[in-house]
Amino acid sequence: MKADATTPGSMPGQVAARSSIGPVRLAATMAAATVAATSSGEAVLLGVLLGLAAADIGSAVVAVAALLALAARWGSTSLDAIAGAQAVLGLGGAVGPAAAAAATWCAAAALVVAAPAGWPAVAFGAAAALGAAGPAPGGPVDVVVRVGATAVGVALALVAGSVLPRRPAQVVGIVLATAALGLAVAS
Amino acid sequence: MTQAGGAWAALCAVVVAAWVAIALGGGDASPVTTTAAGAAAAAATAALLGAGWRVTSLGTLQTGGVLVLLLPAAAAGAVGGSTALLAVALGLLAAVEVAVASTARFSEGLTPQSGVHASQNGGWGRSEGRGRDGRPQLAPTDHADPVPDVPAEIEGDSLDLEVDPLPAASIGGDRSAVWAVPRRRRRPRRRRGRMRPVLEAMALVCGSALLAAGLVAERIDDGGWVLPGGYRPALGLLLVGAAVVVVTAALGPPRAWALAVPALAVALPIADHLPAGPGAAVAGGLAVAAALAVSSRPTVALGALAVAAAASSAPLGATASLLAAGAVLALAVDHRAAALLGLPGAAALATAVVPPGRSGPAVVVAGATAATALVLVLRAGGAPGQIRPPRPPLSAAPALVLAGWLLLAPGTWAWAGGDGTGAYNRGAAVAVAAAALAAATGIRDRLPADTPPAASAQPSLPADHGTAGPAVVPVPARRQGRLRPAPQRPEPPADG
Repeated sequence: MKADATTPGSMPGQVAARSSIGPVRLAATMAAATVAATSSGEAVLLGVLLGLAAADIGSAVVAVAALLALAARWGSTSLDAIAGAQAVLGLGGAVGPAAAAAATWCAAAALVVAAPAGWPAVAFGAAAALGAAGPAPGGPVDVVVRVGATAVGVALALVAGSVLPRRPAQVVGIVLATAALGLAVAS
Repeated sequence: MTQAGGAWAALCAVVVAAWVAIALGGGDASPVTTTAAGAAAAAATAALLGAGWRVTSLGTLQTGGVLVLLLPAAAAGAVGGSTALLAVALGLLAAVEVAVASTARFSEGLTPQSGVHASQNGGWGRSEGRGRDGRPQLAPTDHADPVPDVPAEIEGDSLDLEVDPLPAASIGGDRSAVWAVPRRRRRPRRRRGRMRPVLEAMALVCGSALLAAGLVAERIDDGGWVLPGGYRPALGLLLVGAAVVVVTAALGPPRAWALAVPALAVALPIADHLPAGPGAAVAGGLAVAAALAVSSRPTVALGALAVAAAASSAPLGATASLLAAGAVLALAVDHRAAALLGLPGAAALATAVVPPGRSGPAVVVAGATAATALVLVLRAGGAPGQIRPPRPPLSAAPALVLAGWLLLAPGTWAWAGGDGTGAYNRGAAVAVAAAALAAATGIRDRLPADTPPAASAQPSLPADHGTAGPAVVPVPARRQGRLRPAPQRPEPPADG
C-alpha cells in the first residue's frame, strides 16, 4: 500500500489512509468506467483502458479478448453500435443465436472473474454489464435494465476481485474469453 | 551555433509551409506532384531531420541544408506518385554516408560518436550513440593520450558527457584528467563503441543504395517513376532497402530518423501489390520477431505491422497508414512506451476485421498485431500500469504533442484514413474528460482506502513487539549476533 501523507493530528508514525491505486490507474479506472457506462467509444480502446486500470497483464489480456468477442458477436467494435443493437434486437445475453448468446455470457463472466481487487473492479463490472445487458437508453425500461445490470456486474466484480485468488482467476478468465471469441466467430 | 539553429528552423518552416500550401492549393507543383498525405510526409521528414540534425560547422550546414530542402520534397513526391527526386536524394545520401564511414574509420583521436567530431569529419548530422534509455552515451577512446582532442570535445555544444564530478585537487588543472573517468568506466566496450558509427553509416549506405537502385531499375524497366511497377526484382530491392533503412533509423543514429518516412512511403504501395496471404504472414511474423528482438524501439514492429496491413487487403489501407504514422512518431518520441502509438491503428484494424466476411489475411494481421502487442507489453517489464520507463528528453516535446494528437483524435488524421475512427474518437474524448475530472477533483485522496491506515513503513524493532506494525519473527538467540538488516522488499500490489 502506498501511503505517503501524514494526516495532521495523527499519531506519530501513523500515515493517512489513501486509495492503494496510483493516479494513472485511478484515471484509467475512471475513464474505463465512464466509457463502459455510457457505451461511447470503441472496444479495443476500452480493453486497453481496463488493462491500464488493472495494471496486470493477465487481466489486460482477458479484457481485450472479452471485448473483442463482444465486438465479433455484434459485428462492430463501436460500443454505441453494440448498445444500439441491444436496444433494438434484445439484450446480448438473451437474444440468439444460441452460440452468440453463450459468447456474450462467457465474455461477461471472463470480465467479472478477471477483475482486480479494489476500485478497478468497478470498470470491469460495468464492461461486463455492457456486454450482457447494456441496451442504449431508449426508454425507462432500458434505463432500469441498464442500471440494474451495471449494479449487479459491479457488485459481482468487486466480490470476485476480493475473494478469488488472482492467478487462477485470470487463467479461468482467459479460458472464458477464448471460448467467447470462438463462439462469437462461429455464430 | 544558435544563429545557425535559428536559420535551420526558419528553413524547415519554409519547406513545411511550402508543401502544405502545395497540397492545399491543388496538389500540383511541377516536377513534383503531391497530395495531403505527401505534405504530411514532407512535414514529418523535415521535422525528423530537425530532430536528428545539428549544425556544428559550415560543412554540416551546407550538406544538411541540401538534405533539408531535398528530402522532404522527395518524400512528398514519392507519396504523390513520382520517385524521381527520391532516387536523387537517396543517391546523394549514400555518398555522404560513405564519406562519414570513411572518416569514422580512419580518423584519429576520439571516436566519431560525438557530434563535434562527426561534423569535423564531414558528417551531416548528430551521431552520438544512445543507450537503451535514450540518453547519449560517451564512447571510449582507443588512444592512450586523448589530450589533443579534449578541448574541442569539451567546448562542443552538442555533447552531454556523463562525467563524474571530480574534486579540483584530483583534476589538478589538467583537463585530460576529466577524461580519465569515462575512459576507465567504459573500457570493456571499447571496440564496440569504436565500430558502431562505421556500422551505422554502412547500414545507411546499404539501405539508401538499395532503395535508389530499386527506383532506377523500375524506371529502366517501366519507363516511369510511379510505384509499384511490374519489375519484381526491383520491388524486392525496394522492400529490402526499406527494411534496412527503417531498422537503422530505429536502432541507429538520430540522423537516420528522417529516412524512415520515404522508406515507408516506398514500402506501403509495394506491399499493397504483394500476394495477400504470404505477404501478411511474413510481415506479421517479422513484426513479432522485431518486438521480441528490439522491444525498446517499437518503430520496427509498428512499421512491419503497417506493411502487413498494407499487404493483406484494400480495406486495411487506413490501418496501414495509421500504423506507419505511429511508427514514425515513435522514432521521435524515442521511448519504450511509444508502442502505445499503435493503438489507433490496432483499433482501425479491429474495426475492419470484426464485421462478417473478413478475409483470411486480415485475420492473420490481427493475430500478428495481438501477438506483437503482447510481446511489447511483456518485454516492457511489467503490466501496463506498472511500466516506469525513463522520462523522454525535452527535445521530444513536439513529437509528444503530435503523439497525443494521434492517440486521442486519429479521426482528424484524414490523410491517413483515420476519418473512419469516429467511435474511437468519441471514446477517447470521454476517457480524457473522465480522467481529467478525476485528477482535477483530487478524487484519489477522497476514496476510502482498500486497507486500513498503516503504521510507518519503518520495520518494528523487537522492543515494539505488540504494537502496530509488521509481525516480528522470533530469532534464535544463537543467530542474533550474525543478523544484519535485511534489505527492504518492495510491497506487492495491494490488489494482488
